[in-house]
Amino acid sequence: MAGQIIAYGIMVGVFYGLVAVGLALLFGVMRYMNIAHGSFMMIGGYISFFLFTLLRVDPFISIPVVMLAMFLLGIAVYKVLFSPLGKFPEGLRLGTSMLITFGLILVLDNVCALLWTSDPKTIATSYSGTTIEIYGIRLPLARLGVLGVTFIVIIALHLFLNRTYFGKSIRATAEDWEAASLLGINIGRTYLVASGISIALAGAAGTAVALMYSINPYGGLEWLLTAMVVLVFAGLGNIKEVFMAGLLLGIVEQTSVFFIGGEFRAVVGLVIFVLILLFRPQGLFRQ
Amino acid sequence: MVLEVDKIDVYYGDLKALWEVSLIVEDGEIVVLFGSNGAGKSTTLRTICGLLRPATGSIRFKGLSLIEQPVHKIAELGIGMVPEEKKVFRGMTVLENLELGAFLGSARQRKDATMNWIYEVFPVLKERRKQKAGTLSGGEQQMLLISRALMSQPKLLLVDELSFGLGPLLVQNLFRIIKQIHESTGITILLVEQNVRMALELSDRGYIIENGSIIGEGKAQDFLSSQQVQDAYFGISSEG
Repeated sequence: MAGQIIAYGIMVGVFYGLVAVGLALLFGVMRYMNIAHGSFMMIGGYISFFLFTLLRVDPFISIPVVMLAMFLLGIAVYKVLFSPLGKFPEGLRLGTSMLITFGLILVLDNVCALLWTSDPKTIATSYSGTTIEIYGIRLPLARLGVLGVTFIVIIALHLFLNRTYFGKSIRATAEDWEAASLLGINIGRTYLVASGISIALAGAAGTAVALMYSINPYGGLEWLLTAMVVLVFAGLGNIKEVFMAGLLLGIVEQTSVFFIGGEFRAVVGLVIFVLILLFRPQGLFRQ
Repeated sequence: MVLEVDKIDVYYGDLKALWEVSLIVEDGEIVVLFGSNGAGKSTTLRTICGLLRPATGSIRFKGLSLIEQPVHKIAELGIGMVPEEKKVFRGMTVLENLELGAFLGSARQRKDATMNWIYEVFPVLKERRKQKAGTLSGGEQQMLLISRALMSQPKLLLVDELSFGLGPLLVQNLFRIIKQIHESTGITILLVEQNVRMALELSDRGYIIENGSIIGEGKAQDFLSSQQVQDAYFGISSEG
């Protein structure tokens, strides 16, 4: 039984890493907190849902398409909403970004409800109910697939940020935009690409939500909370730390589900969230 | 004339920081801008590289106006900056810091050659190339900042308070290296410095700035022998 809990915790936790990594990237680079991250996940989920129901495109195949569409949406969001924020004094940007994206939630959620009703939607593939059993541990096939996709996405992001010139310029901008701009790095373009990648990552996570759970127009907030709990765990650190934090949250949550019941799953995460803010505001992995 | 700053006024909000500051830097010169703390030295450099904007006046680099250019364009035109307060990318390796210096087109193509040259000038950076820049000592971080700026192969190098927080021996050594770099490459340099004596010994010309205005200019040698300058500024330099 412990093996089952741990295995499930790992699958859920790795996915939490994917949910949070886009939010972490945007915050790390621009110091903007995108409260609408969960709503963007839902939009990504809707795109893959309609690709599946209308065109019979498997969600794993539609992930690149969803990510590309969401990347473009992220660029549009940067141009319309985030870029003008740069004119505020630095100390006001974080708070203002939260207010603006909070407003964005209201717009996005209600547009989704208007277009596609508020009924929850799930991508039900032929393999959705399939599980495989290894050493008595049952593993749902869809979740294993999401696990694989998450690893690919995270490793690709890691390589992009650490091995390419443009990726390095994003990290440099995150550390010190002023010093970066003095080296000829176009900060505006860096922010544009970072926004695109952040929203694209939300799209990938949303596709997985539509496959493993369900999506509805107002479902984004719950996932935003998960992402923020992971971020607080990680102490707003690098991708590796976000990933480890997601993993930890997944395992803790699943263990608590076993001992005190599924209805307290979200509560456990939030209690830890508050405790960490009180006692280790720098995150779990920082000295 | 490489750089021509003409009567710029600069404000921080409502606070006026520079009053009609004018200075010129000729091709191949080393020029020092000195004055007491808060006189407007750093403000002048930050305005030249575009981090601050003048309310009035003009700044020209090789005849081209910099007033409307974004910061990264000014860097692209060939102005490199060694910022103050050790602004290395702390979480990135020494090597990555240097690579980012060569972010721009032509510099990137000559990256390896420039880097080999820099490793000759500062062998310690080669030793520590895989270390995070945040783990370097203050002096090493300053060397990295100079090197990172040089990686872009600038035509004009702006140096903001090289001596900031460093011991006198180390500062002397860094100034000696700057002199060597200048002699081997012919790069034009504009320094801002509190360590006035050392900076003047290295420079061709100097400007004195006080309370946001240029109050004097002349040959570095003349400043060095001026009793007034010695009384007003050389006390500060011995402190560090």
